[in-house]
Amino acid sequence: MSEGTKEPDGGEEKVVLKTHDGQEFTVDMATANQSGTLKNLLSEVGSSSNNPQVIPLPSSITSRVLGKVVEYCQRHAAGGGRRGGMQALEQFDEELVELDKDMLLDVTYAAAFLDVPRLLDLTSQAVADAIKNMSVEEVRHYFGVVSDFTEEEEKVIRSECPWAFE
Amino acid sequence: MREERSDMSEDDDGGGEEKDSWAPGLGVAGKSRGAPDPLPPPLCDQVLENVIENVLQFLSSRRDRNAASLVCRSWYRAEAQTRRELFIGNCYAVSPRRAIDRFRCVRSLVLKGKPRFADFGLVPVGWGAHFSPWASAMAAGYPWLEKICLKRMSVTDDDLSLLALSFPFFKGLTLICCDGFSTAGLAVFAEKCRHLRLLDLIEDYFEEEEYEVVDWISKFPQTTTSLETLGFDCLLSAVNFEALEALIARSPALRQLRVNHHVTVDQLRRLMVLAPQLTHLGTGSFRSPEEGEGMEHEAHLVSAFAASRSLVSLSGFREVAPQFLPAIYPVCSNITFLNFSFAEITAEELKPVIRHCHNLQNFWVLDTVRDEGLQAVAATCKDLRELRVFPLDATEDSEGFVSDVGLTAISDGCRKLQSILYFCQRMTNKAVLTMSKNCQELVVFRLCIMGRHLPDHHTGEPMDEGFGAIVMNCKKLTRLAVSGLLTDKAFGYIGKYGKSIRTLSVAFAGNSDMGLRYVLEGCPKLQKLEIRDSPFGDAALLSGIHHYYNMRFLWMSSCKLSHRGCEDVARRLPHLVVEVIRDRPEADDEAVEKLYMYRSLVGRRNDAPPFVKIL
Repeated sequence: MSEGTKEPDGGEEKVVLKTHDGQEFTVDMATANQSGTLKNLLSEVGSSSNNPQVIPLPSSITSRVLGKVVEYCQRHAAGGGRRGGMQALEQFDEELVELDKDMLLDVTYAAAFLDVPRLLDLTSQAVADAIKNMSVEEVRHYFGVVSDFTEEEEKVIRSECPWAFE
Repeated sequence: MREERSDMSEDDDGGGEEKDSWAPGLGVAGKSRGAPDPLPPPLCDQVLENVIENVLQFLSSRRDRNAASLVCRSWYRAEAQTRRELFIGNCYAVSPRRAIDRFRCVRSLVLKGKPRFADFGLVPVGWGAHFSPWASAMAAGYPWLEKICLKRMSVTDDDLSLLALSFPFFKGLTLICCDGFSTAGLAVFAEKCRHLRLLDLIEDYFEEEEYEVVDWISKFPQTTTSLETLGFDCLLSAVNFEALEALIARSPALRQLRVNHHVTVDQLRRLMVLAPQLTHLGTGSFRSPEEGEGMEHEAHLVSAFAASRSLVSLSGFREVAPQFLPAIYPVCSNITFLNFSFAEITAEELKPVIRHCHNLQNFWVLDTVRDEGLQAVAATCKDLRELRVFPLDATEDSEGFVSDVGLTAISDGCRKLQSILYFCQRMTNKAVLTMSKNCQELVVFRLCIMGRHLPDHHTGEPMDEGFGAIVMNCKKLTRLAVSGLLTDKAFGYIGKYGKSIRTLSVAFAGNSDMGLRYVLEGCPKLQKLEIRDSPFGDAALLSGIHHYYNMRFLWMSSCKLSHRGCEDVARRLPHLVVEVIRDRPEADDEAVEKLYMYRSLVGRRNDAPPFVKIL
C-alpha cells in the first residue's frame, strides 16, 4: 500500500494529513484535491512545500482507513494515463473495495466526509451489493443501527411496504 | 383473450447472509491535539444521510428498498426521498395521496389493476381499476414523472391527454392488457408528448368503428423524434402507413418496433430498410395480400433481414405466409427471443427456422407445430430459458396438438429451462416427473391441461404425482399453475414442498376443503392465489385466515363459497377488502359466484359498480 509519504520532488506543494492515532500522510496537492472537503479547506488556508499545512483528521478516520482513501486519491490523481490506462484503473477500483465489512463502511464514511464522490460511489455500490436480499434486521445489524421508530410507527410502515409497494 | 404474453418480471425473494456485528464508533467527534482543527466532526447527520442516499442509489429492487426504509427514521426519510421507481401491485391497496406523500420524487410508476383472471373474461366489464384518480393525483404530485407502466387498468382518452399535458419530461408509456381508450387518445398523446421515447401497447384490444379511427401516427412531432420503442401490434385498426414510414425515417434512435397485422410483408420490408438498426421487431402479418407476387417480395425481404444485423428479438407473424419464413434465416443465429405464438405453422415449416436458432432463450409458439416441432426445438435450443406453447383452439374439448411427448423432449434437450407454460390435452405423470428431474432451474411451471379433469392418459391415474414431483424437485419454483384430474393429494404435496411458491393458479381441481387447506397452511410465501371451478367451500376459505394479511390477493370463482363464509372472513380481518361479484342476476343470493379479496390500507373503494358488493 502506498502511504503517501514519498519525498517532495522539487518544490511541489504538499499537505500533511494527520490521523488521530498519530500517523502522518504527506500528499501532493493533486491528490488532496481529489477530496472536495480538503480542496475547499486548502483554498482558504493554503500550503507550500517547505511548510506544508497539517490537517488533523477526526478520530473515526484511522490511519488504516485514511491509507485506503489516500491510495485511491493518488491513483486517481494520476488518472488513466499511468500504469496501463483505464482498464488498469478499473481493476484497481475493483480490488480497492474488496474489504471486510467494518473497513468497507469506514472507508465509505470517510469518502462521504472527505467528499471524494467517485470513491463514495464505489464503496456505496459495494455496500449495496452486500445488503441486497437482507431482511430489515440484517441491514440494521450490518450497519449497527438501532431502530428509532416507535412501535406504532414501525407497525404502520411494516404493513405499508408489503401491502402497497411490493 | 389468450393467456397473458407479457408477464412483468418480478424480483425473487432471497435470504441474506448473517453478518458480523459492527460497532460504528463514528458518532464521536474527533478532536486532534496541538494543531488547528478546521474540520467539523464527522458523521454529522449530513454525512450519514449522504452515505445512506449514496448506498440507496445502488439498491434498485423494491424489496431491498422496502427493507431499507424500515431500518430507522433517517433511512426511511432517505429512502422515500430517493425512490425513483414506484411499484404498486394493486391500485386499490393504497390511495394515490398516500403514495405521493411518502415518495416525493418518483420518476417511474408501475401500477396494476384488475385480477389476472380478467384475461380469461372472468372479471365483468366495468369492474373498476380506473387510472383516472391516479392520473390526476400524479399530475399534481409528480411533475417530473417520466414513465408509466399500467397493467390491466382502465385508461380513458382523457387520462392519456392529462398525461401528455401534465408531465413536461414524460418519456415512456406502456399499457398492458388495458382498455377504455381509443386512437383519439393516442393521437393527443402522440402530439403533446414532445420527448417521448417509448410507447408500447401490449395486449390492449379495443374495437372502433371505422369512422372513429383517428390517424394517430401522423400526430407525432414533425421534427426528429426521440422514439426508441414503438409497439402497437395488438391494435385492431390500421395505421396510416405513409405516416409510419415518415415517422420511422425521422426516429434515428428507434430500436424496438412492433407493428400490427395490417402491415404487409412488403410494407415491413420498407420499414426495415429505413431502420436497419432495430434490435426488436414485431413483423405484423408477415404475408402479402396479392397472390403470386410472393417471389419478388421474398428476394427483397431476404436482403432486408440480412441487413438487420442487430436484431435479437422477433415477434408478430400474425398471419404468416410460410413461404416468407426463409427470409429470417440470416438473423436466426443472433436472436434470443422468438415469438411464434400467432404463427399457425407446421413442424415442417418450423424446423428449418429453429435449426438456425442456437442462441434462443425465450420461445413462444403455437401448438400447431406439434410434438415433432418441439422435438426440433429441444434438439437445437440448448440455451432455452423460457418456453410457452399456446393452443390454436383453447376450448376444453379441442384436439390439442402437443402432449407428454413434446414435454419430455423439451425437458431432455433444454436443461436450462426456467419457465414453462404448456397448453395440451394429453399428459402423463411420467413426463412431468421427468421434467422435474431434468429442469431443476424451473421457477415457473404452468401446465394447462385444457379438458376438465383429464387424468394421465396412459395410466388413467390423477396427475397428483406429476405436480408433486415438480414441487418436490424444483426448489426454486415460485409460480405454479395446476390442471388435469387432481385430488387433494396434489395439494398435500404443494403444501408440504412448495415452500417458495408465491403464485398459484388452480382450475377444476381438488376434491374437498382439505385441498385448499393444505396450501393455505403449508405455503408460507404464497402471495397470489387464484382458483376457479373447484370444490372448495367456507371451511377451506376460513382455514387461510392466518395468512390473508400476508397475501396480495385471493380470487375464487365457481367454487362452493357462501355469503356467510365470506362475511365471516370480512368480519375477522377488517383490513381485508372482501368483494363479492355478482354478474349473473339469476344467481341465488346465498351462493357466492366470484370472490375477490385483497388487503388494503385505504379500506373499501368508493368506485365499485352495483354488481360488486363489498362485505
